[in-house]
Amino acid sequence: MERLATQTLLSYKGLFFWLHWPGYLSNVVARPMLMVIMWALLGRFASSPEMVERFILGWIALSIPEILLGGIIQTFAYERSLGVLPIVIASPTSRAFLYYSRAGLHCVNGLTSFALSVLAAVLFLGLDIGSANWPTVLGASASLLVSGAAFSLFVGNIALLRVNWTSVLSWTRSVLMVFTGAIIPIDLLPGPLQPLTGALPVTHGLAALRQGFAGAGAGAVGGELAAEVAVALAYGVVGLALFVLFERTARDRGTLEYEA
Amino acid sequence: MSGLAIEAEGLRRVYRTGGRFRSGREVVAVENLGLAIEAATVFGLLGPNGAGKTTTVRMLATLLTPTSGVARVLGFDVVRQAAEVRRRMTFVFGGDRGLYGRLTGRENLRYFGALHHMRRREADQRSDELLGLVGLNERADQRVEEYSRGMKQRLHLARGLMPRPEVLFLDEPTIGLDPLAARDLRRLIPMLASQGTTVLLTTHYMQEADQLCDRIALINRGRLVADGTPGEIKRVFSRTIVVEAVLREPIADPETDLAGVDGLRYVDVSSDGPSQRLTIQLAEGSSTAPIESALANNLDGLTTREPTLEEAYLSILR
Ligand SMILES: Nc1ncnc2c1ncn2[C@@H]1O[C@H](COP(=O)(O)OP(=O)(O)OP(=O)(O)O)[C@@H](O)[C@H]1O
Ligand SMILES: [Mg+2]
Repeated sequence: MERLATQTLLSYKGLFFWLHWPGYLSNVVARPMLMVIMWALLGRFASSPEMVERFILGWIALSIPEILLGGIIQTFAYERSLGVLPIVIASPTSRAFLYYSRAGLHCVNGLTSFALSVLAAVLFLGLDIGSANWPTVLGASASLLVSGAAFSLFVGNIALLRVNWTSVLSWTRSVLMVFTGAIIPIDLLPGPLQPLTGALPVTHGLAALRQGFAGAGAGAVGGELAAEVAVALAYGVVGLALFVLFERTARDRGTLEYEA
Repeated sequence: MSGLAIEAEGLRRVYRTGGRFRSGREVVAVENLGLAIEAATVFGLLGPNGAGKTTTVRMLATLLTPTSGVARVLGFDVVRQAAEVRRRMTFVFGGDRGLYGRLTGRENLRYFGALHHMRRREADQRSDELLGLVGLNERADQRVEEYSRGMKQRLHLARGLMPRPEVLFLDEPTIGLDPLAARDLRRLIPMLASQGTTVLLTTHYMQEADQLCDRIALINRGRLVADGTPGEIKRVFSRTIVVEAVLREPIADPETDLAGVDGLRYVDVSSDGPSQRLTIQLAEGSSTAPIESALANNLDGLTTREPTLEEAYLSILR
């Protein structure tokens, strides 16, 4: 009995990596509450065919940041857990190089995900692409690609501060699902939150994408595309600054070599 | 080459441990450490577990910010001019972490070469050379996750040598290496120094340190306790002489028999064929006459020698 108690306690303490206040609050306390609210909201909006079309286009747009977030956050997290982080940090390569280069090939995955989700929507869900304006659709997907990559790098950074990457990933996914208009129309969100949606990736690019599938020309969505690219630039620049800052913090705290 | 490659003055590092919200504990890992290491020499940093060796190396290698004090590598401040330091230095930490398991040995080297601004062709040439040097030629195109621990350690060494660094930090580099590989590494280190590389080495193998290092610093609880050539450490800092006494008949409790000997520090017993050998450490300046009279007729032979580095180490830290 005593051995069982010891094992129960110590395997929990040694192997439950969310056992610190931020981890516990976010995963055990806040996440279940958010989940039940989110899925209930989803059910409420999925009531009409137009809504289903909204969902389809929303998910097509989200397919890009979905794979980018997963892929890019991993690069930061595994660099740490493999113990390569100190070697990479103490190399003469410029921080911008280190930072941006890890997004490169993930963008190919983003594009593949996008193409395949359009294909699946056409084949299995009867998405009508007859009136689509392809240059606009391509432009929109390109803008989603750069913003998705910049945002993923921005978020992945946090792994330098030894934050558990799986929770970071699921949190950011939820945020993008709820606050970009992918699923819940933005004008149905609480008023004070609506202006914030514009600062997230996907929001503007998705708006352009919806118009592109409806046949709008590139000229009509120029503003949205520019806004999406501006958001990408902002995350790109601020993210690099954070990368440099987090490196300094990790050196100050002596945590560069920690495994997680 | 001449001049100092590595300097430190009043170097100090405090770790704060404990949670983000709980108030933490403080550990002083390095305290008021001064170092002056000549270029193109091999310098050994020795000390017990937790003495602060790795902490010191991490500060010099720009991985850890000193809490106070200054350190310079090749004249560049390790905090303010970290980029300059990184251009000229690499490190190899003992153990098998720090490689990409999903890449082959060759790909790992190519990647680390690129991090050090090496062009693809130059990097491939250099990695061929180094894979041969560390005996990984045949495994070069196998994924590193399939390597044994010692093979990873060898690959680390190759990685550290890739950009031909001016300063090389080796933190317990022979840990996990088989005797042959360890010997190869011990042959390589002086060669690097003769080609102008400054090597800072930590190790727990005293013989290795004695054999390789031009100078040695001994630290304990973060503080410097001795600093000099291996000979100086053995002669001056140890403040001991070692007497080897061979006995005809083994005795059960040599400490009691030798209790009256002036300056007696330590007695070690070993067997030497049918007879018994006592290795006796005496404070420097003590006479061996009391030993001879204490052991009297049982004594078969008595010689005096200078302590080995290991004996000196133990005597300094005791
Ligand atoms: N990242 C860290 N966070 C907190 N304390 C640390 C950290 N790294 C080292 N320490 C503490 O600093 C002290 C010195 O550790 P360090 O690793 O420098 O010793 P060392 O001389 O390399 O020992 P060893 O021979 O075992 O490798 C120890 O008390 C250790 O517990
Ligand atoms: Mg160490």
